[in-house]
Amino acid sequence: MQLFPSINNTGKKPQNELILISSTDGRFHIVNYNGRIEKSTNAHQGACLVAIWSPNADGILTAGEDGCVKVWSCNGLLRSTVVESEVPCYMALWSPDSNGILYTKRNYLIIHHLQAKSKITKWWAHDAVILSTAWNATNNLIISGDEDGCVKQLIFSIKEFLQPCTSISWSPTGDLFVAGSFNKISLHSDDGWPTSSLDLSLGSIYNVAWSPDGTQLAAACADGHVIFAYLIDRTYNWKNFNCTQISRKVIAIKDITTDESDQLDYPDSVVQIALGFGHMAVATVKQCFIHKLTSWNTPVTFDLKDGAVSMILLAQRCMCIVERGRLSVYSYTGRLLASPQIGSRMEARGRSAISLGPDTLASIDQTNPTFIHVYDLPTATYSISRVTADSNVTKIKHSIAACSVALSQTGPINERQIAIIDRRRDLYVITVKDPKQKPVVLSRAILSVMWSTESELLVGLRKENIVCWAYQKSNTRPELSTTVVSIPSSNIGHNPRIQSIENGMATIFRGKGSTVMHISLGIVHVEMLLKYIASNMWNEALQLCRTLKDNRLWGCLAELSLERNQLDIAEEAFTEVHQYAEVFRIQHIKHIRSTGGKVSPAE
Amino acid sequence: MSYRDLRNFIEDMRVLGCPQQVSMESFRGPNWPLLESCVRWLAARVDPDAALGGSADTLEGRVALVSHALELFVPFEVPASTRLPASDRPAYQSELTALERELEALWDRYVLRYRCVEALKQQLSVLERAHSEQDMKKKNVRILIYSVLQNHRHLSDYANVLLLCDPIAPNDRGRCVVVVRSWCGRGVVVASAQAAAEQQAAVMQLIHKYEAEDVLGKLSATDDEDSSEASSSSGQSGGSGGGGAAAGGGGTARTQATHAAAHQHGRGAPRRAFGSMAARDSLDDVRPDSGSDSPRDLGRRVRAAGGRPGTRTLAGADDYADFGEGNDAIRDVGLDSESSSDSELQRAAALTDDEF
Repeated sequence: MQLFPSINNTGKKPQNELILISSTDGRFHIVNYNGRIEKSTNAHQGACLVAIWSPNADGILTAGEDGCVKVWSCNGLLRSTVVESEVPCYMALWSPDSNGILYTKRNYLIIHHLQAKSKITKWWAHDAVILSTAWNATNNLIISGDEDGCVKQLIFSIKEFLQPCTSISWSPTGDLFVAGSFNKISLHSDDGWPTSSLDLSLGSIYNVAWSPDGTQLAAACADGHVIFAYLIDRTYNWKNFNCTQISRKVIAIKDITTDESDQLDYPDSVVQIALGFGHMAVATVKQCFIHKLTSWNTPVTFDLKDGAVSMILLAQRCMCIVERGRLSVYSYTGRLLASPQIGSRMEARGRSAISLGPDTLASIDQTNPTFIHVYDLPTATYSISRVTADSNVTKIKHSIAACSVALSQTGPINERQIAIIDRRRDLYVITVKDPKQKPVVLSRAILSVMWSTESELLVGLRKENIVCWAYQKSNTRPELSTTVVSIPSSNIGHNPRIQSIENGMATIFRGKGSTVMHISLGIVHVEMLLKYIASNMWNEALQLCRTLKDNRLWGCLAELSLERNQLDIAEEAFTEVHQYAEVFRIQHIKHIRSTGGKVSPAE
Repeated sequence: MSYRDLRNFIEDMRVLGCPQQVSMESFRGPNWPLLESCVRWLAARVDPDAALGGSADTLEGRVALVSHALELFVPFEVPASTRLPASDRPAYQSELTALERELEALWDRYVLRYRCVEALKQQLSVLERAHSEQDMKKKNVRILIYSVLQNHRHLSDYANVLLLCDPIAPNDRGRCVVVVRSWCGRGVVVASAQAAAEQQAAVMQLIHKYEAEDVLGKLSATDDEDSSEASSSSGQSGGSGGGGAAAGGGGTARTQATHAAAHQHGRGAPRRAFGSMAARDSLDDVRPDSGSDSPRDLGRRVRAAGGRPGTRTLAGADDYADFGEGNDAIRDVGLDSESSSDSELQRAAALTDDEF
């Protein structure tokens, strides 16, 4: 059974309220909310095991006991029989872009594109018959469960259950998934690590469904029961503040330094929480509450338009709420600043596909991931831009599809930089307002990247180390590697993610069970130097370098001062790092300037 | 097996805790080894001491295995009406499912009918209880009437007694009153044994007196006629209401001799008892009527009631033998005018319930 997908297009009413039901007599039925059967179609011989709408609500996919996989129109007319097999097909799914299907064939998973003359991708996924599978649109990951109780994904394989894994489902945001078996249901993170499990006495879990906001789920059991569950104990940390959702409507917040704590009760169920930049934003099903961490008992409140909030992003001067079908930028006073129209299915975007800066918003185009849209936000003005004008939008074209974007959090808007990780895991850093800049690979095999909130420091994760880039512009001098700091770390896990960079500390979400690790980058002085430079405090920066006598500091100072035309400082800094060719070049430039541009041939 | 059946079977085996993992692909084709292991495990669950014969290797072994398993899983006998011929035994799950549904429907019908029968039985018992209660009430009425009659109650009081009689329903009391009044109208006179003996003694005195005066001899030819006319007139006047005194007097004059005399003469109308009473009438004419309640006035009362009895018929001693205290037997007394008082009582007791 599946509800008709709700696609919120601008200015259009929600789609038809229809329910798609498959039955064991080989038919599927289209039923409206009043219970009247609109259409019944004989689809398969034997049981019709799968009947689902396409994500774009354009078609129906069915799979049956007869081994056939068929595509139908929304009216129940057969379009094509994609697969005819002698083996029953227990599971079939649409691809997130509705252009292909994924189906099971005993131990194999097969991706079949619906376009003509398209390749078929087939691989051996399990040792036993595959009973359940799920494909997330946000992270584009496929997980599957078999009769041996194994749950597998391309990057992990876990023997979760003693009994067959009868159901599996991704959360809408793609950061969690639920697997069901006989008398057991377990919650996992996206890297497969189990976070919690429930032992039941209701038989096998045949099907699991998430709510659109990803906070609740429903499961159908073999004995006829339907269980409802919601997520709790979500914990968020920022500096010395910690908040935990202890129940559906209650959040416990605590200041570790002052040991001050409080419990905040909300009128409705809490859907999303965000903590950072001195604020805590809480979204319920109806309203949004913005608390200042200095006085959390007096929040700013405003009503939400949809209520199915999938994500909240915080920045220095504004916050962004991602709802179903829309994206809104608010100030911390609750005033709507912008509502950029990026596209449909906003709820299918992952956290890595959207980045919020102090005055800029970046998003990967969902239809064409090679394009990245960067919007200028009127955070300093009093006007509300509801329709984004062309002058406020910058379109960045990348060679291949991008997976993750990150905007720098400091500096003026003209120097705003964006870090892009593409599907090859190559890292590029581009200045948004510099169209002539040619993207150059900064590093390869990067798993995660994040900008510091206090300086222009960029931190990235590789498999075995943490890399910090103090200067990210095109490095034409590969021998000058002093602006890059590499910190070896062997216990990061196979799928780590940086949560924040604060005061020289990197908060990393590991993939090995331990949720968070804090690593001291040992580059506090580098950040300090960057802050001095950002504030044009060159004397202080020079004094810092002379005091510490650190080559990394001299290297950063050298590059940045040269970029900002501080030739004297640059000369001294390049001397300290023994880059004499640069020293001579700087001296030549200084001489040219001193002579008014008149250079004799002998010189 | 269909998908649903297989899935349900797998789920059931998991719930039962079968260690053997059954796959969704297990029974796409014949899988006798797995079937054998499942059946043996289930048999052990049902009866740990059971030992199933047969094996999955040969055809005969498979038949034996399945037969033994069925005998173990289905211990009670199936009724013959629902037993299928051997050739029609279901070989497929779907047929078995249809049979199970049919059995369920039959069972439901049986339960419904059983409940209807029980309800009817209950209603019948209630009706019988009501009938028995009603019979008891009527018996109580009769006993009460008898006791009242035994105590020389005036008939006019009978109605009051009936009205005051609690066990009798108000509707029934009215009918009792009507019946008692009808008795009064017919001149039903109930007298105790003592009163009857006194009356008999008074009558004997009159007889002796008249014999002395040779009244009986002179009237021997005309007694029969007069007695018959008197008896017929007394019989006709018996229906009119008379005083209790009259009922205590002349009513008992109807004796068997009256009947005999009437039949001897061959006349339809019975002879009046005490044919010599006709002569007494003449004497009464001579003798002034003092109006005193003497036994001699009995005759007057009889005349007032309805005529002079024609012949005298002395009631036998046995006729009043039933009257006595403690004799609860109430004879059925017919409403025939020629019967005696006890016959009247019997008739009263023999009144059907409809008259009440």
